[in-house]
Parts: sequence; structure tokens; C-alpha cells
Amino acid sequence: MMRKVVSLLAVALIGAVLIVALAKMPEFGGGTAFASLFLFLLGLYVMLTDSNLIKKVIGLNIMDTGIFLFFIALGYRSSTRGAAYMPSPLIFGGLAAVVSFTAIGLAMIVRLYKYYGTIDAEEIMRKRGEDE
Amino acid sequence: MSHLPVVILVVYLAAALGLIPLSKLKRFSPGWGALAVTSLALLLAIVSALFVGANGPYSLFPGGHAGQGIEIAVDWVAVLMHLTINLVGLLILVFSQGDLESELKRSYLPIYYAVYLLALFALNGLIMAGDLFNLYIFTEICSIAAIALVAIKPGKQCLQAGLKYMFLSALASGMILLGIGLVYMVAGELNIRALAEAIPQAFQTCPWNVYVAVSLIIVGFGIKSALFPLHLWLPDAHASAATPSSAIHSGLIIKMYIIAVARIIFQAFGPNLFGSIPAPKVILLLSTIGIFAGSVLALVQTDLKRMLAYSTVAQISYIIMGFALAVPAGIRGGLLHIVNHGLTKSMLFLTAGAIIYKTGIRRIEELRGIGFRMPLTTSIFSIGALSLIGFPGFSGFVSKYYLAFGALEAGKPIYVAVILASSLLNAVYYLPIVIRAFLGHKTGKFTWDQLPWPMTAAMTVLAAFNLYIGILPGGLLGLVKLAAAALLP
Amino acid sequence: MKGFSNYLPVLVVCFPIFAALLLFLIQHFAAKLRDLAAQVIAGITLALVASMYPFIKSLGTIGISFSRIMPPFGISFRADLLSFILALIAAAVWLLATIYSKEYMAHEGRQNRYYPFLLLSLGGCLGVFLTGDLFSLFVFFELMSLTAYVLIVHEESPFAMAAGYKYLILTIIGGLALFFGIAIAFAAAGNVQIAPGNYLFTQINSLSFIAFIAFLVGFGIKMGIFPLHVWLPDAHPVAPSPASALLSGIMLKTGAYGLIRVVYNVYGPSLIAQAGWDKILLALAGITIFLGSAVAIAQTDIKRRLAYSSIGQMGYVLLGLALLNVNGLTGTIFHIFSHGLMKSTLFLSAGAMIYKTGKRQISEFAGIGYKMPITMGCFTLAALAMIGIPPLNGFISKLILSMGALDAGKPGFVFLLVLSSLMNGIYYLPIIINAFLGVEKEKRVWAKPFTELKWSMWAPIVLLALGCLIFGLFPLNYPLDWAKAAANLLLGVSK
Repeated sequence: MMRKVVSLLAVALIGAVLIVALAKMPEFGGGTAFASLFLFLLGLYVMLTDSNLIKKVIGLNIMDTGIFLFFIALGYRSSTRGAAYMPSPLIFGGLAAVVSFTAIGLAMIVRLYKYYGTIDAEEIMRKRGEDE
Repeated sequence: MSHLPVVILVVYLAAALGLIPLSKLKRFSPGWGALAVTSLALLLAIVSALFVGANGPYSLFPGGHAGQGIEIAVDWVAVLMHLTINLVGLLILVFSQGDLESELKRSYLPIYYAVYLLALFALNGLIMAGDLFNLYIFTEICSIAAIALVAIKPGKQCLQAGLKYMFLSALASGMILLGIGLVYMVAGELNIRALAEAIPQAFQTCPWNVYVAVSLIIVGFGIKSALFPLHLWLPDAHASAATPSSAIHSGLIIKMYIIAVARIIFQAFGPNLFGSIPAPKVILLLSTIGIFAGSVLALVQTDLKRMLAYSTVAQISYIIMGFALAVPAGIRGGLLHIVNHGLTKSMLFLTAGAIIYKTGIRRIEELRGIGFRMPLTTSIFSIGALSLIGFPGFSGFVSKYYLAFGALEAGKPIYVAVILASSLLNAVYYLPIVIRAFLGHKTGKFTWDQLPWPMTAAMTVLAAFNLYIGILPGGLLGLVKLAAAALLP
Repeated sequence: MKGFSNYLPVLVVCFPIFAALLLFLIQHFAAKLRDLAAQVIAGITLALVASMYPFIKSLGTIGISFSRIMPPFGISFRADLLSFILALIAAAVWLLATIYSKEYMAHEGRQNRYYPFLLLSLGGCLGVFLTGDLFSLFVFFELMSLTAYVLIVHEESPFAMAAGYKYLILTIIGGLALFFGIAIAFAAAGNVQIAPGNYLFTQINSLSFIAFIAFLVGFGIKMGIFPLHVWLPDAHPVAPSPASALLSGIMLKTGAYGLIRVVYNVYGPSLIAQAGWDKILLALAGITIFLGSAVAIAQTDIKRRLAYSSIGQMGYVLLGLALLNVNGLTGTIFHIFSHGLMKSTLFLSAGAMIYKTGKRQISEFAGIGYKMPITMGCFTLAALAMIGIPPLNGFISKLILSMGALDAGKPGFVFLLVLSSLMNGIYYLPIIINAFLGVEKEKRVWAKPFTELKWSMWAPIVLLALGCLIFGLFPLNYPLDWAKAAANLLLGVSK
């Protein structure tokens, strides 16, 4: 419970700072960026608090999806600046990274399941404590 | 000749991809294959260094637009780190020829070596990334390879450590990407040189955006390079992984992220902007706490590799402190300590691995008298310990006095006291091991270590480098001076 | 020939170090040669040190610097008169202690480790005396301190390990403090050369004060100044006796030498006087003299009593160098020299008694003067010199120190010197009285002289004791003249 509260506070703090930062941008107006930030924070919260390892991985994906969406929103805003070709490779790179993280994470979760018979992080911690 | 650094990358990538199919061949040993590739890369790095020495630093623009877009910056930082990475990487690989078969399943060996080469590929690319795109991509490849290097060893601890590392690393990647996005949003550029021109103006119009971007990038790389209190993943990962993985992790990987973030901070944002925000103060404070906390936590550990891991947390804080002082001497100290700690800590992990290989002992208490059973290994461990404590004549001392100069140059003598106090703490947790190994009990006769020769050779060469740098650091200092000037003119 | 002479200090320092490394190998292949080889190496080192004299006499200073080793400081070697006196007494006492060790260490064992480290610490000690900048001094200081640790814990008993660990930690603190001071000096002046007139600090500010305190702590720990002496009474007695003699007789003095260089070469006496920091030194000296002597009285273990006595004696040395005048400094330098002779005589003869009887308590040595007349005779001579009975060397150094105190207008310290001589009497005379008068008349049978020990043990003791006599009694006292000349040189007074 404690952990959830702390995580929620941390996420809220990060969110507040980001929103303040973006709101102070004179040319920033679109709601897409705010929506993408919401996704980012949501994913972050799930990743930090949920004890189901698969859900954690899903949270990771939601978080990164939020970031990609944010980039897309930016690409639209800054199309007038002439260097708009950059975000797409950056997103491709990010996508590849997230896919790899997801793959390697899921592979590890599968093998952990073989050892412990559960994918619940707290359960695993408990069983590990019993081992030692 | 100017494409040599790219050739290094191509060689590593091709070898990493080719190693697994090639290992199906009967007479092909993946370990020796990887060794050959790394030796070739070290050779190329040396030639490339000589080329830069003759013609000066230069940049490559694969995109074709000089000054913008993708850039491969072959400056003195890249030269210095190329030499370090490939040298240490090669020596760790030599060590693994003897050690790895005892730690991993035989069938995993080709995969391990492929991932290892992939990590070296990413490190080599990371340190010469001249734009944020390249930098991000290589960071990610490096992180994923690093996770795989930890998780590949069979056992529950490695899986758990790897998973923890994966989540934190992925979180860090997300933060870095978001930070880069925010920078791009205001500056419209990803090339570091172009950013250096664009950011001051962007900072005028939307300072908050730049603040948040800097914080996100620093926190992201802080997680990856284990800046206190973001080091939570490190002790588990370094302590449980296979010895060569721990060595490359502690010795190289986490430090190259610092180079990356230093490039962003000093070359793109500029020292003035960095100095005008509270970030340096916060980082200095955190690194001070990190130095003490890492040392104190190392002091209470009972597992040798875990102690070394916590010692890394303290030592990495030294490096970060050197950079955060943001004066030439401090950056020189940081760069020197990257090289010296890279050589020293990988050496210490290798000696710990050798002790585990030979005797199976991991607990520090049981190391009593190990100096008589494994005199060479223990002597090399002692060299590493004295180096990290900062005794004159060992490499760690050289970086210590440069860090001290940095603190004095920045007008903050208090950090000299911090560095010295932590040297004392290092002594308190390293020396008892050395003392117990050689003294204070019924002494038997010396017997030779009898390790496989690749392990002995790797440790001995690392120890020789340590002493060489400790006594004649002139050449390295010259290189470091040029590299520091590239970061902070 | 001038070119060659500049390499002499390098040779003097490096020879024992490399020879010690060679000794590790020699003893592996020819164990019987080991003791002889160690003695020969120490002998050659002494000869090398002595051979510097004509060059120093004609050229003033000799030396050379190697800027490529450990830049930006570089390692440099330099010998002037002060360095020469101290290097000479160090090499001489080391040779005698090495000869003494052959027999003594035979029953302690582990000589394979002992001899190489003994020679390594000789190299470190000579390095401290013969370097031309603070940084090199620091490097050799650390080498000496680290190798001395191995000598201290030689016995490997739990008590020795505990004492050694305390020593090690305090030594490291001292080393770090020194390094702190050197870093500040380098940042302030751009070099750390020790040369006449090259004062590294020219201003009195908080940074130069911090550096001064750092130097004081760094050298003070080695020297055993109150309140940094805590390691000394444990570590010196627990070492094997020849090592104790070297630790107390010579290695303590490296700290004093360092402080002399700091006060007279790094800061300059005028800056110290102007800032009033000499008062810190004087206060510490007063406390150290009184405390060392007072606590020594309460000790019952003979080596422990000698160790506390050393603390008191280092107070004299600190007093002399803090007076900032020619007589005070001459007294300090001469006392370093004569205390080296006296304290090594005492430790070596105490060691011989322990070797012979296996006892350490002072009360158990009743009547030993008859069983070991030569040893106890030498002990008596050195103890009397310690008390300051004329015409022995201890008297002369105290006399000059008193003159220095009067010159500085501080007669209180003369009183302190007299008081502490009295206290020296209180703790040394009972040992002597007990040794000769502590048994009934019937049991007072003189042993045949020179049969009590093998010659390799009594000869060094006798030679050292003769030194106490000669360098006090004889009108032609070279060390005293050198000490005067060195003091004049340091203070910049032309003769």
C-alpha cells in the first residue's frame, strides 16, 4: 500500500513538472501532447506498482507508447522548422528498443515462472526469502 | 583511414551476428573467434588513434549534410575510450576463455560471446555518437546486451537481478527518449554541434522545457550508470552475474553512459547553462552521498563480489563528481578515473572470479589464508585494492590527485576532503581482506595458483597496466588532457 | 664527475629497494645466503650514503629530478647537509639492526618475509630524507609506512594484528592528510619543490592554514605528537626488537624531518612567526614532552616504557623546530641524530634481554646486570644519555635546546626540559638500579664478559652505545657541526 502511495506521488510530481514545463511553452497548444503525457504517466504508474510481472511489461509498453505519441504530436507542431525528418527514425529506434526490452523481459519472466511457478513479484520475493 | 572507427563497428556487428551460425561448424571455437575479432578491433583502435594523432580529430556525416543530422565524432574522447574499451574488453575476453565454461552451459557459449561482442559494438558506437539519435540507439543496444549478459547465467538470482535491471533500464530509456524529445521540440535539432548553437536561444524562450529535458536525461543516464540513489539494480546484477559480465559491467558499461551524458551536457547544453541551473549542486551532493553510502554499504557486505559491486557505486560517484565540478581538472580526473577504474575494477572482479573458480569461496570471512593458496591472484587483488585506496605508485592515485585538483580549481576544497575521507573508507574495507589473506594465522607454504593460463594472463596484464599508469602516467595524461579539452574547451 | 654525483641520491634510495626485491628471489634459491645478503645490502647502502659527503661538502646540494614519473609532480632526489646527516644515521642504525637481526630473528622466524621488508623500509626511509620535493617525500613516506606495517605485525599474534591495524589506519589518515596539504600547495604555487627560498605559501589565509594543519597531522601521526600518538605505544613494542629500534630510533624522525621541511622550506619561518602558528607547535611540544615522560613512568613493560619515552623525546624535537632560531633548530637536528643512537641502543639491549630471558616486565629483570654485563652496561650508558647526564650526547642536545628556548625568550621551556630530564631519571634509573642492586649480594656473580650473547648481537649494541659516548664527549663533534651548518642553511643565515 505504502509503495502505491509513494509511486502515485512520484508519478504525480513528474506529471505536474512536465505539464508545467509544456504549458509554459508559448507555441504549445495541442491536446495530443497532453494525452500522450497521460499515457506515459499511466504506464509508469503500472510499471512501478503492479506486482504482476506481465502487467509491469505492459505498463512499460504503454509508457513508451505515450512517448512515441508525444513525438508524433511534436512532429506535427514543428513541421515548419525543416528538420522534421528526425523524429521518425528516433521513434523507430525507440520502438526497436521497446520491442527488445519486452522480448528479453518476457523471456526472463517465462524462466522465472519455471523456477517459482508464479509471475507475481511479491510472491517471488516471499519464496526467495523462504529459500534463504 | 578516416573510416576506421566505422570499420570497428562493422567488424563487431558482423562478428556478433555471424558468431552463432559459425559456431555450428565443428572446428570453430566461438571464444577464440570473439577473441580474434576483439584483437582486430583493438588494433584498428590503435591505428585510428595514431591517425587522429597525426591529423587531428574529425567527424563523419553519413547523412551527407556536414554539421547536421547523423554525426560520428572521432574526437579525443572517442580515441581515449576506444582504446580503453577494446583493451579491457579484450582482456576480459581472454579471461573468459578459462573461466566461462565453469559458469555457463556449453550451449550458451556462442550466444554469450555474440552478446558480448554486441555490447562492445554498442560501447564503441556510443562514445563517438555526435548526435542524440545515434547516442540513443547505441545506449539502447548497450543496455539490452548488458541485461542479457547478466541474465544468461543459469540461476534464480541472475534472472531476478536481470529483471530488476531490465525494468529500471527500460524506465531510464523512456526518460532519455522523452528528454531528447523535449530538446528536439524547442531546438529543432538532434546534432550536438547544431544543438550547441540552438539551445541558448531556445533556453531564452522556454527555459522550463530545457530544465525538464536536462533533468530527464540526467536521471535516465543516472539510473543506467548507477548514480546514487538510482543504483538499486547494480549490486544484485554485478554480484550475481558471470565473472566476465560483472567485469565488463563494472569496468566499462556504466562508465560509457557517463561519457554519453557528459557529451550532451557539456557539448550540447554547454557548461554555462549547466552551471546556471541547480543540477551540478544536486549531482555533487548526490555523488558525495553516493561515495559515502557506497563505501559504508561495501563495508558491511559479506560476499566478495557484492562488496566489489558496492565499491563500484562509490567509485562511479567519484567519476560523476569529477564531471559535475565542471572545471578542466575535474573532467580530467573523471576521465582518468574512467580509464583507471575500468582497468582496476575489472581486474578485481576477475580476481574474485578466479578465487571462486578455484576454491568456490565467495564469503569474505572464508578468504583467510587465500594468499598462500593463490599467491598471484591475491597479489593482483592487493594491487587493485591499493590502487582504489589511492596509494602512490598505483593507477587510482593518479586519478585521485586530478580529482583533488579539480575540487581545488573549482574553489571547493571540501570535496578534496570528501575524496580523502572515502579513500580511508576504501582502506577500511579493502585492506582487511588483503591482511587476512596473508597474515594473522598459521602460515602454510606457498602453493602456486594453478589457474588456466588465459585467466592468469588477463589478470597479470591488467595489473601491469595498473602499475604502469601508476608510475608513468605521462602518455595517458596527455591523451586525457586533449579529451577533456574536447568536452570542456 | 659532477654529473655522476647528482645520481648518487637516486642510487642510495633505489639500491635497497631493488636489492630487497632481488632478495625475495635470492632466498628462494639460496636460503643460506639470505642473512648475509641482507647485511651486505645494508652495508653497501651505508657506504653509498657516506660517499655523498665529499660532493655535498663541495657542492652544497646534489640531486636530479625525473619529471616523467608521476607527472605533473615528478619524482626528484636532492641531498643537502640536513638530508645527509639523517640519511647517514638511518643507514648506520639499519646496518647494525640488520646484523643484530641474524641471531635475534632466528627464534622469531619468518625471516623470508622480514628481511626484504626491512630493506624496503630502509629504501623508503632514505627516500624521505633524500627527495627534492614534497610529493616524492610523500611517495617514499607511504612506501616506508606500508612496509613498516609488515614489520610491526611480524609476530601475527592477535595483539600484534590489532596494534598493526591501528597503525595502518592512522598511517593512512596521515598519508591522506599529507596529500591534502600537498594538493593545496601545488594548487597555490604550481610546484612542490623543496629549495631554499622557494616558499610555496606566501599568504596567510584559511587555505594555507588548512594545509598547515594537514601537514601537521600527516607528519605528527608518524612522529607521535600528542594527541596523534595513540598508535605508537602499541605498535613499537609489539614489533621484533630490531624493528622496534628502527621504528623508534629512525622512522619516527621522518615525521620530524618532514615538519622541518614544512616549517623552514614550505612556509618559511617568517610566515609561521607572522601567523603565530609556531605557538600551536610549541603548545603541542610542551604537552607531548610532559605527557610522554609522565606516562612512561607508569609502564611496567620495558619496551612499552621505551616507546612512551620516544613520544616525550619527539616533543623535544618539535620544541626545537618551533622555536624558529638557530640554536633551537641545531638542537632539534642534533637531537634527532643522538636520539637515533640512544633509542636504538636501548631497544636493541632490551631486545637482547628479552631474547635471553623471555621476560618483558621490568620487575623481572632484577640482577640481570650480572648475567648480561655488556648489554646492561650499554643500556645504562644510553639511559644516562637520555636523562641528559654530561658529557653524553643527550646532554648536549638538551643544552642547545635550552639555549634556543632562552634565545626565543621562552625560559619556561628550559624549566620544562629540566623537569622532563628529572622524569626521565625517574623511569630509567629504577631499571638500572633493579638490574644491579635488585638481588641479594650472594647472587651477584658477574658473567664472563662477551659470552652472554653471540658477537652479532652485542657488537651492534656496543657500537651504538659508543656512539652516544663519542658524539657527546669528543671535542671534535662532526654531527654537531653539521647540525649547526644545516640549521644556518635552513634559516638562511650566512656563517
